Amino acid sequence: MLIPPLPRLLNALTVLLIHISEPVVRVTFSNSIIAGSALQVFVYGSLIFMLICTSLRDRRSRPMKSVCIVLLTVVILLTITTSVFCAPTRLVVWGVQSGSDTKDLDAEVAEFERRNPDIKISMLSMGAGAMNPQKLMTAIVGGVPPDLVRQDRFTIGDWASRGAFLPLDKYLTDDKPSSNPLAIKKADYVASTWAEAVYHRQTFAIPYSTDDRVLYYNKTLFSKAGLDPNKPPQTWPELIHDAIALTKRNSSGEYLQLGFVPDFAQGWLYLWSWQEDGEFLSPDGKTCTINNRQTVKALTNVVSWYDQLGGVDAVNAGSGGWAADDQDPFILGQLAMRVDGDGFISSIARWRPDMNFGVCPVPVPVNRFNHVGRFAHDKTWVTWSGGDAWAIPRGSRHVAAAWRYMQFMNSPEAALAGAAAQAAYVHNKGRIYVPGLFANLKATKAVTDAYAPTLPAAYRAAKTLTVSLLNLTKFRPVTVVGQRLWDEQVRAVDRATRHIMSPQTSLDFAQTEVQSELDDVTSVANHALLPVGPVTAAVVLFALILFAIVILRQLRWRKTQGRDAKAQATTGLLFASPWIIGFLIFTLGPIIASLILSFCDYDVLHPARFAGLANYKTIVTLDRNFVLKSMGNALYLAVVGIPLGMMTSLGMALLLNVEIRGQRLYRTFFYMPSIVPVVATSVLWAWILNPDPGRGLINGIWQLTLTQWFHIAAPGWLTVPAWAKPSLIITGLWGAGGGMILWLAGLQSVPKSLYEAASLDGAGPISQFRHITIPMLSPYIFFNVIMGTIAALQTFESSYIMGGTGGGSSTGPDDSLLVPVVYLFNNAFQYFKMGYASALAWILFIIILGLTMGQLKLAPRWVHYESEG
Amino acid sequence: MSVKQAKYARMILLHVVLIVGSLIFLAPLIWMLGTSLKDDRAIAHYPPILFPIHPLWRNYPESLKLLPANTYYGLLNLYNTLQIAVLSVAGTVLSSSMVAFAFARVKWPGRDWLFGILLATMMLPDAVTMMPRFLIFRSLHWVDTLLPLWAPAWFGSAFNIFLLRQFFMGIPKELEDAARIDGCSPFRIYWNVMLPLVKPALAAVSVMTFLGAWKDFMGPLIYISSPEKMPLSYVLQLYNAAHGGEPALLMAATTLVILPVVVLFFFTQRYFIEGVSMTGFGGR
Repeated sequence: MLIPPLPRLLNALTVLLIHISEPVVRVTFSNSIIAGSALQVFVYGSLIFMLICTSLRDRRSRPMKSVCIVLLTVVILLTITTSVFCAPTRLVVWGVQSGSDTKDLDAEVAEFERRNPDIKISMLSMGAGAMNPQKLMTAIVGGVPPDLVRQDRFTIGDWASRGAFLPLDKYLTDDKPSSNPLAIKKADYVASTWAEAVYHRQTFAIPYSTDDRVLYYNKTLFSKAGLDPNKPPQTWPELIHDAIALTKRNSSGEYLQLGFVPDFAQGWLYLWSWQEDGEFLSPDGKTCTINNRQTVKALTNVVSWYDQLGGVDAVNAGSGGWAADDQDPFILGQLAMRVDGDGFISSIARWRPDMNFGVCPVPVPVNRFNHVGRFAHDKTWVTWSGGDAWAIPRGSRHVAAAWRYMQFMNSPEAALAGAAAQAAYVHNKGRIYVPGLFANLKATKAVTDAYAPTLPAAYRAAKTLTVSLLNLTKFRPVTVVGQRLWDEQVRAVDRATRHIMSPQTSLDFAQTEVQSELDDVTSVANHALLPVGPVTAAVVLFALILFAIVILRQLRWRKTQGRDAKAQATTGLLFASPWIIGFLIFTLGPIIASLILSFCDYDVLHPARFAGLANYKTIVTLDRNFVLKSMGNALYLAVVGIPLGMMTSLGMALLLNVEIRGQRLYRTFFYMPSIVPVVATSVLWAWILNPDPGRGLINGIWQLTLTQWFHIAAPGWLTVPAWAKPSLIITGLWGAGGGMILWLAGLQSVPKSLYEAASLDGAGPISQFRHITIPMLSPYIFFNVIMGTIAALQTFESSYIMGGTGGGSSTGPDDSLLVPVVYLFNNAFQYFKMGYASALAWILFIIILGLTMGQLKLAPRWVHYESEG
Repeated sequence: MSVKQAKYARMILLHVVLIVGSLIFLAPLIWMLGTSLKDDRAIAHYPPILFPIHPLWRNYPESLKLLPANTYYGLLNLYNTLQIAVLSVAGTVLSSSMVAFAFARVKWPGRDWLFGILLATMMLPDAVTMMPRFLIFRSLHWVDTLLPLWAPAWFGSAFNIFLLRQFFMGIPKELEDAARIDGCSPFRIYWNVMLPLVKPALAAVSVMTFLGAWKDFMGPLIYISSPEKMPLSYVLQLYNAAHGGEPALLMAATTLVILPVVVLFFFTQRYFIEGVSMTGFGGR
């Protein structure tokens, strides 16, 4: 309910009060945070002091004083009460999402807490499903990590290489299977899942869930197309033959039904390449081999499949409207075959349980199927696994508890307990329960044995196949550049299928990109350590000399002055001291640090290395495209956005600069949007600009008017590279009311006599605007241009939030919303390339400085100041 | 048409333009409210419905239920935002006015020189100091606390110092002299004579700082990771990422974040307007 019931409210209030008193508690009971608490105490103290002062001055009465005393007593009492509370170990787990349909997880957690009453589990259920990597890294570096994370296994290598996770080998050897039935044994696990969690011979994670990929096919559609529903394709030629037979188009060429879409769902290049025995990385992990012969062959096949089905553009147009869940094309019978993970069995069970479907291993090249030539000794089928793993971040405060939780969650008992709860929930809704796959084979066996016999025949067959394929699954290479490799693989397929490049060139291109990042990573280790001692000493010495000069000058000055001047000087310094101290700590210190950092490699977790100009060099060579793209985007926002914004706000100001009834009300309406927090504005406008005319307001209206009248199709706004920045600018225009107030003030400062004189001379309103208003407002225009440019170059929030709505990343489709500060932020707080980010910041600073200076220089040519006459 | 009639017609035309303009600027907010009260069918309806016939008020409690349990339906997040905002305002007003007073009314060696530096710092992009600041707060063990979000406000902000200095400069020297002859200490001159005279400016600074703290997003994005310590703005962004598929609930949450600012705005409109005209910042 909106208003929580009274006890809950009281509970919440108590928590709030405890919160307020927390700083005092910290001062009393902890030393590590003493600086923060001291400041907080100072703050509360000065607040109370202010209170007392006001009461004394205004009323010269005592009541306020007693209020203060009461307040202080309350705080002290609370301090004592909170210190009495002692909570059980709170195990903070990230990357796990509890929701209305995760009864299995809830049951497992409940069972764990029942068995371990000293531990309470606290899960972070916010974030975009998976863990936000930036948040996790910042928390680890900041020294406040979660105690345990469930992380996509294929990123473990990357995290481990940055020193973010604890190696677990010690705990593995300490685990005694003889005394503890829950002990974790490598032998119990699917080999590939375990191998994926090992980096440089150390185990950094324990695999949890897993999956594998198979081909799903719709038997009903097979029968209709005259194919044998019990004979699914086994080789590539059979696959494309059946796919063509299953594809139907109408007279105008639109697809009514598609047989197969090669890279839809889980049909990634990895799979096709592995079937050709291709590999993506050399065994030593130092060379990217994505452009090898096998992979080129695989990609060539994917391209030819697309072409035989009618070309990638036609297929994309046909699959453009596909959605998920009950609107899934396979569920609806619009797509006859798909490569997908075992989890899709559950989707069929959920959305179309009576479907007549079959499952088979993904078809392989003919030679492999017949074990000819280089495939002579290979297993016939190829599939691969992904999934999650548990990892303990560096700095975790409850490693032992986390280990216990991990042991339990991976055990067959937990799997069974979870499955029982989930099955009860699903059966209760009249649906079919399909158990999942676990990296722990014993857990998989336990739940499969318990629930497979209850399944209908088709599901049972599918389940049996996915379980049996587990022992030959492959896994993506464990590497620092795993994510980059993945992204480049996707881009390579996109370029080749669109015939922008041949498969060979496209993969060569991808290879260069991945390789340069790999080389970059390896070269970092070669830089010498930054001599922290001498550098600090030099900085401190410099500061001391400066300080000494200041003190000496002050002393000399004081000697020559009278008593009054000396007293004044003391007062002045005392009053200015907050800013002087703040300036030294928060501005000057950081500026020096940032300058030094920009010549270093520093990821906080490891000692800084002196890199010379390497960061600046990377910016102008290797990463030139990203940097230029971000600068270009910012420039676009400035050049298009600032004039539009000024025109809108000036237009509003001109309308309102008239004596009219309700002027104040109108002003309020125009102004209000500008006070809405940027986060809220961005979220709201992402919704308004939803490209679906049935959902987004703008496209809904567009469809009803412009499309109806002029047949202009509505744009895709944030989902299309060309329209993403205009979307951002439109959103900005909504807040133009803030500028309006400024223009109004400016307009009111223009002397009325000027207009009177002009109208006597016969000047019309347009001429008056052109020759009086604009010149008189030119200082305001100038101010707006300078402030606008500085702000546009530092755009962050709107781009970060709205960029995340179109695609997965926070940079918009095709990086169209990548702006300098977002790029810098990601480097600083996701990859913790502090040095690189500092170098970027300095370049940004110099650009801003240059632009401002340039504008100041140009100003006298067009800015009119009244004093000039 | 007589002159009067022409004037009348112009007035009506102006009203029409202003009403249409107001509607355009209010439409997103109305759309937000409307969406927050729709069921799934009304949301997917085409042509779009501005406001549902049967408002689904349940969406509001539903949207709060999706928040982590230990935030007490977002109550803690509201409290965090308020804490940051109030402490930032108190800090900014107190420290900036003190420093401005020192720069405007007291003579001390190095004053003009330092004032030049103060003006120069306004040019510096936050990006330059962002990373070292993180390292400072990290070494203080302040990461994942609210301290990094409001503590810097207690050391004065260059812009507000500059602004308040202008106001202090405008106060006649006679007042100060009279107070001094009466035996006032410098602190009493600042507190009892000067501050009351710049109250409008203080109000404007307060309102702008409050708004800035309420909006702050990058700070929490860098420093806060526990749900129970997050301020509203950051919660909303995470909510957007996690529950973007539920537009009604998302818009309900957005409404709840915007509502307090709008209410505050209606009560303190004058200071907002003054704040913008004085500071020259459109509030974004």
